[in-house]
Amino acid sequence: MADDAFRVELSDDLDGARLAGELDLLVYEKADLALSPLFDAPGDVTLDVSDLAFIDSSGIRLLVRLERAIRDRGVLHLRGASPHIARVFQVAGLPDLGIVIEDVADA
Amino acid sequence: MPETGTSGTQTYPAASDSLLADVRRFVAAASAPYLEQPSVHDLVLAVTEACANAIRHSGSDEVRVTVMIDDHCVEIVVEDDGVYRMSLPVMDGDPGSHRGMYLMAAMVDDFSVHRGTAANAGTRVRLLKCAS
Repeated sequence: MADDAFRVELSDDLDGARLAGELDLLVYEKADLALSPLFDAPGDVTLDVSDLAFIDSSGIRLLVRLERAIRDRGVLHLRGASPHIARVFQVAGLPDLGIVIEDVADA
Repeated sequence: MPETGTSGTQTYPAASDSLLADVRRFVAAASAPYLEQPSVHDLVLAVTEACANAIRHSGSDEVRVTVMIDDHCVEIVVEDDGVYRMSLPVMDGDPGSHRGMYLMAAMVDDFSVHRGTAANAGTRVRLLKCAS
């Protein structure tokens, strides 16, 4: 379904992006390319994931890579996740890596 | 609630760009009458991981997904015709490369893997999610 296609909208300041749709192994390269400008961000990076409908371990891997890339300069924030997406972030151990999960949506 | 004991199988070409999304639709629709929505999400993620593993590592031309309903549980079987390969972190440089298997295990009540070998190809992953 078209509404579930993975999409990225970078912020004008290149300090974040809005992710929407379904992020899985088959769109990993597309997602990696779309988010690549953020790997050089000078400080914190905030991803609005409120319209992210699905994420698998490939997507988690991409977030971990982004966090590693900016770790010396800032913190990665994941904002507005649905309860299910937030649970995947938790189970995958993202908070243990210093990734901040904030403003989780109500169930 | 629909009767138990029902089942269905879908076969997907491994090269399909929409394989994972198609599998998610199939599993979500088949399990929604039996499981709460959070459990459907969990099962869909686990099945996606199993299918992604088949795409990445098995070399199989197709992936088959079977849904079976039994009492209060939904059982999913993901099968391919390939050889099971577990990637090692040292090989791909990602210390989190086992995250998929970990996520799969964390999302279901039970799972098992029958590993295809060169002599006896065909990997079969069984996932079980029960109504709480």
